[in-house]
Amino acid sequence: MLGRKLRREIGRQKGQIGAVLVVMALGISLFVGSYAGYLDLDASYARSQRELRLADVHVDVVRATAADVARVAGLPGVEAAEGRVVVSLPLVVPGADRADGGAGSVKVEARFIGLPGEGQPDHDRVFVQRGDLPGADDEVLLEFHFAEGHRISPGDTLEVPLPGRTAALKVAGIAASAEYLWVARDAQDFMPGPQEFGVVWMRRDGIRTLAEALAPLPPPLGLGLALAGTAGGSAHATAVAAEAGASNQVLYMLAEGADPAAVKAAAGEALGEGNALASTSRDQLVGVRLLQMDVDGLRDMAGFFPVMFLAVGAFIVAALLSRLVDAQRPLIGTMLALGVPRRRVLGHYLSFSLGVGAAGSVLGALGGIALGALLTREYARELRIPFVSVEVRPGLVASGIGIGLLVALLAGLGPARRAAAIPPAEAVRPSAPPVGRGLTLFRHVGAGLPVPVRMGLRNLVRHPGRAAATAAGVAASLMLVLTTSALVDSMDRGIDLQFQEAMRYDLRADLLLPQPAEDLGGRVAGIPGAAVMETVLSLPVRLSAGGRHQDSLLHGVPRGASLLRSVDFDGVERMPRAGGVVIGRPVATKLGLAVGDPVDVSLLPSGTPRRLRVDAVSDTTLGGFTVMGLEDARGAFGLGGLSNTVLVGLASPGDREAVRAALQELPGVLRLHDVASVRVELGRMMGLAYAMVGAMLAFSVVLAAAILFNTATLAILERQRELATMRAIGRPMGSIAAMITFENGLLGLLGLVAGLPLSVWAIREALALYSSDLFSLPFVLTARTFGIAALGVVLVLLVAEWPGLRQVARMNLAEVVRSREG
Amino acid sequence: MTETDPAHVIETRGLIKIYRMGPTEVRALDGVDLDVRRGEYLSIMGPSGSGKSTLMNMLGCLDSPTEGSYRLDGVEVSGLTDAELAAVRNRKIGFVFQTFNLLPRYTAQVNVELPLLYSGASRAERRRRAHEALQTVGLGDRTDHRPNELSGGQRQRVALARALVNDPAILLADEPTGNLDTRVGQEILRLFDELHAQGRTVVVVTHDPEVAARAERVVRVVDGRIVEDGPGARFARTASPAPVDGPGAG
Ligand SMILES: Nc1ncnc2c1ncn2[C@@H]1O[C@H](COP(=O)(O)OP(=O)(O)O)[C@@H](O)[C@H]1O
Ligand SMILES: [Mg+2]
Repeated sequence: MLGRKLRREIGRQKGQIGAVLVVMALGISLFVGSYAGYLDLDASYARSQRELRLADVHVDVVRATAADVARVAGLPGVEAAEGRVVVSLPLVVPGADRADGGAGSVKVEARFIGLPGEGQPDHDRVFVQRGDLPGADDEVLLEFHFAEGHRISPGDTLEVPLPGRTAALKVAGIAASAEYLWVARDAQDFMPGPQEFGVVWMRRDGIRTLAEALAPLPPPLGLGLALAGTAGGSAHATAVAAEAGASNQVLYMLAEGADPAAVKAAAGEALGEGNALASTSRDQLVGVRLLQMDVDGLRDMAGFFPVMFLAVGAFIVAALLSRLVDAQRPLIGTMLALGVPRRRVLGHYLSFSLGVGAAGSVLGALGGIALGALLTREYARELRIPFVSVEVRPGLVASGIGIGLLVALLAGLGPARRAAAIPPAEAVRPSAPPVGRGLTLFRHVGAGLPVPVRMGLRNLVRHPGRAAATAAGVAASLMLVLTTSALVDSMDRGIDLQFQEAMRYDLRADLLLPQPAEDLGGRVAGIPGAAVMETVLSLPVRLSAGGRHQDSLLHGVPRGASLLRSVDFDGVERMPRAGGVVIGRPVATKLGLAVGDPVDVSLLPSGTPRRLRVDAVSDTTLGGFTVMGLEDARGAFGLGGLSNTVLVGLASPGDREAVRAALQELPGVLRLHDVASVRVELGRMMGLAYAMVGAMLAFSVVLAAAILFNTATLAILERQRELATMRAIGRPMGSIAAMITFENGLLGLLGLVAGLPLSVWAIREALALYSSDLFSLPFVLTARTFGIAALGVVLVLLVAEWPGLRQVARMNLAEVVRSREG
Repeated sequence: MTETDPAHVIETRGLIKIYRMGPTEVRALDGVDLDVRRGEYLSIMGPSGSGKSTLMNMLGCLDSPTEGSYRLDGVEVSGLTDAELAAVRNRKIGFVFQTFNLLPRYTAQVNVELPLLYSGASRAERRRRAHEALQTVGLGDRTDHRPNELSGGQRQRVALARALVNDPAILLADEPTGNLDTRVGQEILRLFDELHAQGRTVVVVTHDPEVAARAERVVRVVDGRIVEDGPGARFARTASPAPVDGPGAG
């Protein structure tokens, strides 16, 4: 009987119940799917790291001998240790048929990682996907991003330019590694394209042969320091690589229960004073961190959106049920008078909300299982995760359903309890149940205004709850839509700032060693198509203050530089004065630095610290660069007249290939950096982010529409009788519609006013969530975005009146006015 | 405590009901003592706002008194829990409301079956008894009609059938003819007469002297007190009702 009544109710409220089902099902599938995806991927990464024995700690060292490594291995708390060489060398991919559509040979920076003479290393093993491990000293194994970017297959040949000759290297195989599932060169350059950077494994002896051939290069003015990149990419590293048995990286595994900090200190001591440069724990490796951030994004999504969806679902369920209870008050009273126990009334309305919740949850759980599997499969395929671990998680599915039911239960509890508390005497009272006492305070609201306006205003204050619900619905809708659209604006602006304002060159050539700027400039000026040229210094440095350190890339740029500038999120250029530096926000935060503070800057790996002054702290999209005047930097680091980086602006995009080719033929060029390909790479990454935000925007629009339709429809249905009575006494439908529109317009305005600060807050929260020391975005909220979102919300609100008004127009007036019972 | 008289189906002593609305108090019932014999046809009369409906709500266990005692069929009702009160309403009381209070969109048959649903009767039993009750009120041929397919008088007869289906100890009606025109009202009142003749206890609340006159006993309520208690006009056309000036009358 009650069940039948329930079914009828469901039949009558198809639209709204459909909305709740969609919203709840989306919420639960997002929860189950993203969380399952998160757990699977997290487990897959962990499993890949375990299977491939990714070292717990990577220590970059100036130089370690076999005896140094043995000392580390013998430390208490160290389970195993191993030394290896990591060195950056230029690598030429001949006649490349590049995945980016370009052609012709390309010179890239290849990070050569040493392998033992036979088989796999003990730590940081490789997962060979095609071909084999190198079988000879002149064979290499390529990291798969690099191989795919150049369409290289096992059996192809690559070249390393050496003084006076080239060394031909045969590709033995293609592999993935746990360290480079996300290929990052370093924290500053965390998404280099395959046209610039690649990871290559080679037997230790093969690397020694190459390094020996390069070693006769004169050390720059006796400095012997790393200048063209971090520890791996340096003349110094080349020198270490040329030395049999020497390493510049020590990897170790912690023993069970060891204290990482204590072991780190002991290892530093064992390796000798000043020898250990940086000690990076496994989860702090740049590539690992970025993957983790990516996966954590999934987890956050598993939290944020389901909460939004379920909150909206709960809101709709509660509103629906409230309305139902209000409409059925006399009925409930009659049932109670006839002796129906209160708990049955409670149960009846709860079963209504639970039924909706159960249907939504089960649908959502099914969708979630599919979504989770899809996410894991796509990620695993895209990233070539070597060891994928997919689990069926009945517990997660059950919690998804449980959460859905709980939300439905909580949403239904209020109205259901209200229903069960109706005094049975209510049934006997022939008058209509009392509605909204209103705020007597506002009894005289609108006095002196035209009657229709006054009536509209009074209607609002007479039902403050209903008015507040509609305004809150508008505010929430605005917040949802505005936050996601503003995120798109922020991404666009952040990228524009980085590539149109800060990095204004088209091509950059990094040299293995600094060269006299004048010679360099003369050579580049002779390249046809190179319209603008600047020579700068790019130095890996360590910033220290208050006992804390942060490694960064320092750019020494000429005064009035036009190709590489430090531009803040507000679009203003921030350049240092003499003796000063401009640092990035993440560095400032990490070291606790403010403008005017002193900071010690030393060249990596082991230069003498220079005391400089913080002239500005700059918010930038990518990483924490440090900027200094060129002459200042030359003076501070003893590099008078030298530059190690050339920036080139092209006369026209058509000259790109020719200028590239000429630049990579310049003597001493380690790597070419092509902004166009960075933009391609960034576009690929941003494509994913845009897709994500796009999905979020679509969700927000669905949610906003659901909120608005429900608030607007219910607000009309709640006063159906009142409106029908108005019609009965001769008020035309058009006038009723105008009154409702006026009220909704007013509430919409109120909601927009309340929603704006809410949105600003939410945008800031969202930006904070997505920013890190690697990447951050400016706060952007344009009048245009606000206008479109506000207009959209108000339009939907007005359209949302229609179903309710249509119902009022179709009502059988005689029935309604005669009696509320059939 | 007075001894329970087994002949009394209703016994109230010092019934007080106070409604509080913010700072103001409304004394809707102000010490009502009322005994109703089994099989009696009683009407409660009084001007609007005098407390008739409130008294009826107390008698029907729809609401609890602020003070006083109420024995229904020998059982003290004021100490019962909400669930027990629901069971009492279900088994001992049949209600007829001014506004009929039928479930729209359900047939007369289903509406009448409703009270049986909560007293554990089988499906077949429910059908049979509901049909019988509908026949009693002369609607044996309208069982499949929905309320909006019935006239006002027919709707009230469905409500009466619903009140009777559980064979209650008392039949309570609050302004049963209030929403009906005179002729149709008369039909309903004739049904009440018949039910009384069959030995049922009937309590009708009304402000209409014509309606009250059909009862064998009339109780007049003013300002929450019983001011008169005497035979109905039909039974004592010549005798004027005896004034009441103290508790324990009847
Ligand atoms: N639920 C209630 N809340 C507050 N006051 C009430 C309520 N029900 C009745 N009253 C008041 O109690 C008094 C008696 O009402 P009622 O019993 O309905 O009178 P009658 O049925 O004789 O017209 C009236 O003054 C009425 O306003
Ligand atoms: Mg009344």
